[in-house]
Amino acid sequence: MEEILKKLISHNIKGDVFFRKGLSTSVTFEANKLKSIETSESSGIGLRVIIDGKIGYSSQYGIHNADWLFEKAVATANIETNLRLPFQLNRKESFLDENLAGLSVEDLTKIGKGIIERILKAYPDIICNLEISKDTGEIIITNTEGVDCKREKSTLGIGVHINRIKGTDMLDVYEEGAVKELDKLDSEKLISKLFNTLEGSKEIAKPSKAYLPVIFTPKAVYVLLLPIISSLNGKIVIMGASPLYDKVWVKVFDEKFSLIEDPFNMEGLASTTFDDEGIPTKTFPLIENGVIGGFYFDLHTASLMGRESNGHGFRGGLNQPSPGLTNLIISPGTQSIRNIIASLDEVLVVDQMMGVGQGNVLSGEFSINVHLGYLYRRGEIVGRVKDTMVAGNAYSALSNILALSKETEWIGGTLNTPYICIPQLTVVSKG
Amino acid sequence: MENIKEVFLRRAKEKKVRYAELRVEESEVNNIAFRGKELEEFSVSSSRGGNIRILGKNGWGFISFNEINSDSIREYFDQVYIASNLITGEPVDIEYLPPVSETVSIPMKRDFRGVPLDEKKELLSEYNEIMLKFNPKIQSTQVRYFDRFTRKYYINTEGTDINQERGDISSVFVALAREGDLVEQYHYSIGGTDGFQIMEGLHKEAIYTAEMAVKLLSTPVIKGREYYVVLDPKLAGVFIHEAFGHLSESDFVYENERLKELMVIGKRFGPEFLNVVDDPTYPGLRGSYKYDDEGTPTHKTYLIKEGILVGRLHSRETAKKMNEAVTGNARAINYRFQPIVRMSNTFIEPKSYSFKNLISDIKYGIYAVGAYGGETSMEMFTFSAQEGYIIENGQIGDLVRDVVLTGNVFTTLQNVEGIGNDLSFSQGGGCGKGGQSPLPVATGSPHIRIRNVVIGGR
Repeated sequence: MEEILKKLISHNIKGDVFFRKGLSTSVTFEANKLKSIETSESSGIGLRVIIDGKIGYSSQYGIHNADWLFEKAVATANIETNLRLPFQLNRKESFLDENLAGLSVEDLTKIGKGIIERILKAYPDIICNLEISKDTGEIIITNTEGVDCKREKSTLGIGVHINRIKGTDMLDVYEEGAVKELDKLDSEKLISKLFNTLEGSKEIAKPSKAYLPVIFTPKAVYVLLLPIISSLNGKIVIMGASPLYDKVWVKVFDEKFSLIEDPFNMEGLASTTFDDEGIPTKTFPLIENGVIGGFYFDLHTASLMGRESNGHGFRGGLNQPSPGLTNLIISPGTQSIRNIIASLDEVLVVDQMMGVGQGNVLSGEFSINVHLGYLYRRGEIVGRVKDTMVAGNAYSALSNILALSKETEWIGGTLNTPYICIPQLTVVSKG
Repeated sequence: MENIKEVFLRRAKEKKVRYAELRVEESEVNNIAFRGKELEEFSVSSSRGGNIRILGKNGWGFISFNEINSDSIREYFDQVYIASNLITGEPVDIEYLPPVSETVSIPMKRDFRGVPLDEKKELLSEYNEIMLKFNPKIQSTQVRYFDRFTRKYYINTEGTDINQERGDISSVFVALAREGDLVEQYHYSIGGTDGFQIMEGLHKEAIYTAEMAVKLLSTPVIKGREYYVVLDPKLAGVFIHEAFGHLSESDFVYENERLKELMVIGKRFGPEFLNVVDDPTYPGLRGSYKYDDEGTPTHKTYLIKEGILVGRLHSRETAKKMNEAVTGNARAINYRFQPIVRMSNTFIEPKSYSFKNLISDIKYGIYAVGAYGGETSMEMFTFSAQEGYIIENGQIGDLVRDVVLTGNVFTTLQNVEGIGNDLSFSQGGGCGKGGQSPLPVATGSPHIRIRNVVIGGR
């Protein structure tokens, strides 16, 4: 890295150098049995140069060749920009949990085995696939203006997928959990969620009406959220493609709906005090009581709009920075999910979906297959719903929310959300 | 490379492993993208990495890495060797194959490595400008393009030594139209392995993309219900990939006794005129390759013949376990991943109907065109069209939007009523499974007609 940085400085070229290193160990159980042990080591560098107001970019996984990176970055300097690299940020942050990082393959195997044994004891007729993975990694961001930041992180993730077949009926359920600290790992919670699902899936039920109240479980909230976070992305706003482009400080959604980005939430997996361009992060209300709070930008996107980056330049792998988000928190409501369900004559609870993101996401339209869902009548479960589609528009759904539960859950370690109940959506079932 | 191979093979011999393989992969990628008027991405990246996989008594040890030299290879080998012996459970075995030694290179008509970056950029800029200037209602555009040249070395303890090279291009045009708060988009995607010429002369496609985006602004959302549908070749290709292709991947089946019963060879899944094929040897498609990532030579596999399940896709392990022949479908998106059972070029074979025949006696239905994508949970699946047209009394009528279809593998294939004579392939985008996405595949079909398909809508 230093070699490249020196090269930039000696050529009087501004730029930043991004380094990423990772080590991941995972154990995979297939059909209830330990099947494979996997390790992955990776390291790479991304180089961005700014020459005469134009960005060039190159990246390399594997052996780092400073000459090659420099030559390619200079040769691609074509993207016009006004971006100014940040000055003098010097931060080292570590989310490395020694206990977690120290887990051996045997430890991981033991955790996985424990979960599978519990499940099989209660439901011997199911097939369980499970992956448990420990990741440690670091990123370093440096630039010619004196930024030098480093972030270390360790995470533990568990994904469980269970399959039960009766006749030609297949039940597929997945649950996941991810933590930064080992003592936050709660496999009991994961197991009890799976048990609830298996218990509620004994009968097949069919919705009686074409329009029903629909509850999205935390796992399913993403279908409503995806159009919103896309429309608040600076890149989409610049394109004029965001339906929210002229709605900052305007009340667009139900006042019960607040979506806060919290980079300092210690439970979230994406916590950080600086972004991947060396800009400090801050808590950011994307939507507060239904009112749009603002858009998120990286350096280049902000400069195109004549604005400042608000610390949202994040990188996937070694890609160039683009606007991204850290931990997202949807504010909970006041009622328990049990009470919300009990208050409705008939309600469809959607837990897993297929077809999310297929189609015109920005317009907010969605039409999804209920991969896993349940029908309740007056608080009593009727059964599992299948061969059914739910359609609606995310903007209109979130502008008229019946209730948000007081219970919240972490999804993918970066979204904390309650159950969301929409008073009416279109439901189509086969036959 | 020779040195590394030698270290690997010597270590494997010393440790007396049953089976081990080493893959090394080098690639270079050029990325170009426009977003609206702005050039958004113009970059070059390269990668060199490898992996070692060892079969222990009861399972696999695997390691992937970026550091490749004789010392590191020895260390990595020993590390995986230990891991592969930690696995307890039932014995695992694989199909062993005779050794092959071959260099395979897919020729390109116009090798994209010889096309200057600026020329690529200018051509894409042309398409972008066409869309931007098409109509004042075009709010913005995206033109994305990458080309990747990959060299893969594969050796194993059977004595196989394969060197495969190929180029891959994938590109998408997106037009966004806007009227008030309504934003609609349309896309066109293209991909291929045979050179940069596939990117030339796409002006008409750019115009059509912009035209459709504007049209969708004044198009109503489809009404949700069951429909008679006719799928165009693009969507029908995605349909068969989702509806049946994934269920043919034996890694879902081989350890699942109940699923084995449901997916027993000889079972009827569709009408007698339905033939479904997966064929990596089909020349010139993105899902074409000579050897898979386990060094298995490929061949054409019938999945469904005359409506009957006749075959499925295998890795060495699933083939052994199910006592069926290997097919060469173990693929990994890159060196960071273990190969898993994947499709290649999957298609429905053509029959005799013309498009006109297929729609002529439909009183009311939907002609669904183009594909946004699809997803499956094995039993149920969804696939979505770019647009739909109402079919009324055998005539194509009004446009409708947001057409997302769903089906059930045990009923929807049985409901296929007619297959056209106009097979064509799509090869933009890619397939995702087990965290490995996007894998280059092709899907193909003629026009097909299906009854009783649930389409979601408001």
